Amino acid sequence: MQQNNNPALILLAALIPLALLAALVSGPVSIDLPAALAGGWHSEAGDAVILWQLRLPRALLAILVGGALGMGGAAMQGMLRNPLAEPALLGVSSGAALAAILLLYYGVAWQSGWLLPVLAIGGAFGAVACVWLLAGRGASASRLVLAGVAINAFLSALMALALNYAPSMFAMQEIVFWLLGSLANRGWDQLLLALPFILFGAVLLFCARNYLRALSLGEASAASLGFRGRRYPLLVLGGIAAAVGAAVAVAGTIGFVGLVVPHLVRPLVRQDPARLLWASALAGALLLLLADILVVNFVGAQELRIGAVTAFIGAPFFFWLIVSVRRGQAL
Amino acid sequence: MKKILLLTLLLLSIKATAYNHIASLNLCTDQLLLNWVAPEKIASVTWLSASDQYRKAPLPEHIHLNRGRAEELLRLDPDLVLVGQYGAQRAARRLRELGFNVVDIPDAYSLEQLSQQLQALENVLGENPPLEKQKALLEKMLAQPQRPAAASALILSANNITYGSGMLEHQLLELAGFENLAAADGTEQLRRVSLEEVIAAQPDLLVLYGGEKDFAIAHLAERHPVLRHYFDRDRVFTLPSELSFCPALVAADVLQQLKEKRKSLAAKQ
Amino acid sequence: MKTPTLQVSCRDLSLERRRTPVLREINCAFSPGELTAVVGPNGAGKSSLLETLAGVLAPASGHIELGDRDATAIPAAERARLCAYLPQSEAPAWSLCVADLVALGLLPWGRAADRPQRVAAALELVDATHLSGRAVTRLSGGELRRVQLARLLVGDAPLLIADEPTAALDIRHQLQLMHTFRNQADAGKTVVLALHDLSLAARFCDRILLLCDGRLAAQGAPQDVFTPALIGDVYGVSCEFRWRDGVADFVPLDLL
Repeated sequence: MQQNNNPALILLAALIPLALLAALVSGPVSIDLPAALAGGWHSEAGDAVILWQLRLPRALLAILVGGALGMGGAAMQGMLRNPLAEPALLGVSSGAALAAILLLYYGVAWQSGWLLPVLAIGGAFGAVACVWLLAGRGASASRLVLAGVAINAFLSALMALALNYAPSMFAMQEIVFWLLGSLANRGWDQLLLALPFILFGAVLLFCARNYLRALSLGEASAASLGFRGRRYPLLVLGGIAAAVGAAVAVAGTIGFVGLVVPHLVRPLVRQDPARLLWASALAGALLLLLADILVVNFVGAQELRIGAVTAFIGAPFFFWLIVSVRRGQAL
Repeated sequence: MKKILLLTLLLLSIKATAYNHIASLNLCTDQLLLNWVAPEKIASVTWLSASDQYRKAPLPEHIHLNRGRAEELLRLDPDLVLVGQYGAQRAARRLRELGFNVVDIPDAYSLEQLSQQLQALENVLGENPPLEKQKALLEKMLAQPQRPAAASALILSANNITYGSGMLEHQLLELAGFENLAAADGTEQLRRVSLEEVIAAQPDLLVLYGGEKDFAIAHLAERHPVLRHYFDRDRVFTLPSELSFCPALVAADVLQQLKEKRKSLAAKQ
Repeated sequence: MKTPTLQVSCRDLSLERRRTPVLREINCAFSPGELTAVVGPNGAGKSSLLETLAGVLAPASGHIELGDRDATAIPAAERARLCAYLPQSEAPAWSLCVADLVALGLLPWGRAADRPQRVAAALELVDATHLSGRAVTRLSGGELRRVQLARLLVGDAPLLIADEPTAALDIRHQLQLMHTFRNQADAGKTVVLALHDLSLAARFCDRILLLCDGRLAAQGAPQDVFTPALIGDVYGVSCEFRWRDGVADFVPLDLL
């Protein structure tokens, strides 16, 4: 916990601008980057529009969403004291996704750009509230996990039902695409919509950082260190719901970032659950940005879904995790 | 007066169509029947035709909605069953085995296939004035000399899909005097087109596909602010969704509208 | 560091867990400079009493007074600065390094400039300086216990509570640890330990609380509480205490 400016973390932070640059130059159209940059925000020239209105918001959204997912995963693992936890475990992602799906196909038609994300964020909060109520007051981590699994299973069943009764093949395709996540065709409006929620979530998690530190000793010890009552778990859950809910609301469900990233960077912060939040946000942002660069450069009839890319990275990592647990190594 | 006209129309169609109990196992033939054949002669259409997405007017109550299963039609005892090229093949085979009069109506993905489709339909239904009219319009369209393109266009359909030179939509654009930019780079069928390619290609006309009210993510691209100036300057044309699932109904109208659009674009310049 | 002292008292303290009473009307007091051992058979309520004192559990009725204030009136963060608590089993979730784990004990005090020095001093107190850079998952049971003890001592809470701190320690480290607690008490702290080892309790502690079925069976100086009659009653064993210079050898004989 003493300040150590880890070179690996600095490298991570330095890689983000580089990846951002890579994201700005990659795309199906080759553009003259310096000229487009010089053209500025208001330029009507094609290259400038592509850079400022398409590539930049998409890349920044990848950073924002990846950061939110990484941070949410770190917070979830810290709170549940479980290295296999991820935000989806408490139904945050499925709550947001279900709200979006219901809105899209069984309720109000799409009228304005912000209605769906706002309701999806509401769905995330609703799912977390259900978990909290089901777990009961003063619930322990294991009871929260149980309640989360139960709520999550129920929400997944509802989503399967929605898929089953999708009004048409297109609607079904839409649901599947939503569940795989995508950053395609997103612009500044989605970015500006998600940003305040993700920042709000980050502030809540920042307030709960010492609680997460104390929790690494266990719940009784954390309580004796002054982190007693419902306030702190609520801070963490609220932070996760706001940040991850907003990320899911604008980009769909993108799995594995919240699970894998905290693992990757935990050694870099000497396992400190508080600094892990920010390190995971950095690494999550970088990972998702790189995954999106892969998506953009992938040639195919349909756009590669970013959720599929992260799962491709994540699943082998999961195998490795299981094998290393079998070998009795520390997680 | 009106009554007499209706009666003669009815008489005409009775004379024209030998079948009085027609069933359809295909969304497009559903639509063609509902539009061109007297409702009392239709025994059954697919359930899709009753869904909000495809229905234009309430369906008559006596029409049974089938889900493409043979046993549903057995009970109705149709004297003609229309099936498409794809889908419900198992039911069609079973019905054929049971001695029903099952006729394949080919799907149409180009103007040439469209006239074949209408021909096939005419062969079964006999004389049918609206069908004749569509067929004549189509033949006129096909006979038209290809004019040099006066403006460029690009189709941006759901999920960022665009249409290449082998598609009906391309033929309509060309006939209306547009150069289809997706075909210019050698695309024959469907291709993914990203927003930045749309911006870079700078088409004079942005062609969207209908049905936007239902599917939000698929049509996200159309809502992107970078395309706003196309809407502001009225340089957008929306193809009706019928063109994708049953072009015979609307192909001629769409061509006419596209031509008018090109003229109005030319007038602006 | 000069620490303020803290007088602690419980009045009619009762506690319920899942609607079953586990502590019934406990009346006792803990004074600065005093090392108190809470003893009793398994399930007697030792851990519950300590957790209630530490503020981890809220009493069903009765009061705890820290100094002259009611404990419920003290904000959680301030209470954490008054009282440091080490639970019976504390498994760290992450493979923190020893120094970082010890530093967690300073959380209630916020950012302390002298944190590394304090951590080093606490590690020295428990004879674990050499472990400082090691990951806690690579410690033996005894080493971990000592490191956790350092976590308890690293702050300057006037009330120290530890639940069976000597479990899993070898005899050398048991003695060393009891000496550490003795020194802390002598320095003016109020120290409360739950112990199973009655000999250690008799030798190092000033006062004994004997719990049985959630009730206080006896309290007082070791000589008054550790009598074959009382212990026989509570534990259901026959035993002998051999006293030499205020130090008792406890010899359990047989089941009663």
